[in-house]
Amino acid sequence: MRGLLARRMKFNLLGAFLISMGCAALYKFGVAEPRKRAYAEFYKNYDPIKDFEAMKAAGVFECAPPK
Amino acid sequence: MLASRVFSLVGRRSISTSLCLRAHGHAGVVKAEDYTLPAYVDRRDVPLPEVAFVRDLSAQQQALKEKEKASWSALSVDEKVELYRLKFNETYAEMKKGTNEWKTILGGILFFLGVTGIILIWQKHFMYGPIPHTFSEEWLSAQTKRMLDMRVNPVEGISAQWDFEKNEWKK
Repeated sequence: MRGLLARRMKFNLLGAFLISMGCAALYKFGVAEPRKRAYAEFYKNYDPIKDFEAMKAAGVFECAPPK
Repeated sequence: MLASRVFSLVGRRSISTSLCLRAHGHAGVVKAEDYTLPAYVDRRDVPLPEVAFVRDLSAQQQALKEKEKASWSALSVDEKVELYRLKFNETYAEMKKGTNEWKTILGGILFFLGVTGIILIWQKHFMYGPIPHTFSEEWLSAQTKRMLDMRVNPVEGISAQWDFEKNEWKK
């Protein structure tokens, strides 16, 4: 019983710290970084005019109908 | 007649009074219920419960208790174990031992999930009407085509999975 609570609390505190840090790291390198890269890739060679012309041709615009 | 009735009244009152006197006179207190007294518990965080496990000792056990008052090195191992069992019900090892309860619980959970599944299947088959026409194949493909034309979610979503040059889904 000597220092039982202290021991368990230390153990649990360390575990909680590691798990939360692990989750944060996992999210950062699993979700955040790939997403940033995907957006960078998309906008590297993005031509909005060409995109607009393609959408217009498909007929999705009400005020810019395909001629 | 009235006089006799009055007499019976007085007589009953005197008897009941004496009864009350007897009840209150003797002990003065009410017998304590079991649940109000300190109790024995087998708990990991209560190493020394308030009372010993065995409350009423037999003659043999009382003799052992007397022997306990002398030097403990005179006690044999069996006597020491007997004294332990008098004071405690389960050892810590017995207390901490796992049960097989989790199997029952898991079985119960799965069983009721199955019952729910049966109910849902019955409902779909016998109760619900047809789903909306917007779920038909033609409507869904037209819907997807319109989403691609609008370039919905072009970075990470559906338009990113479509190859606009070859007009097919990306591999």
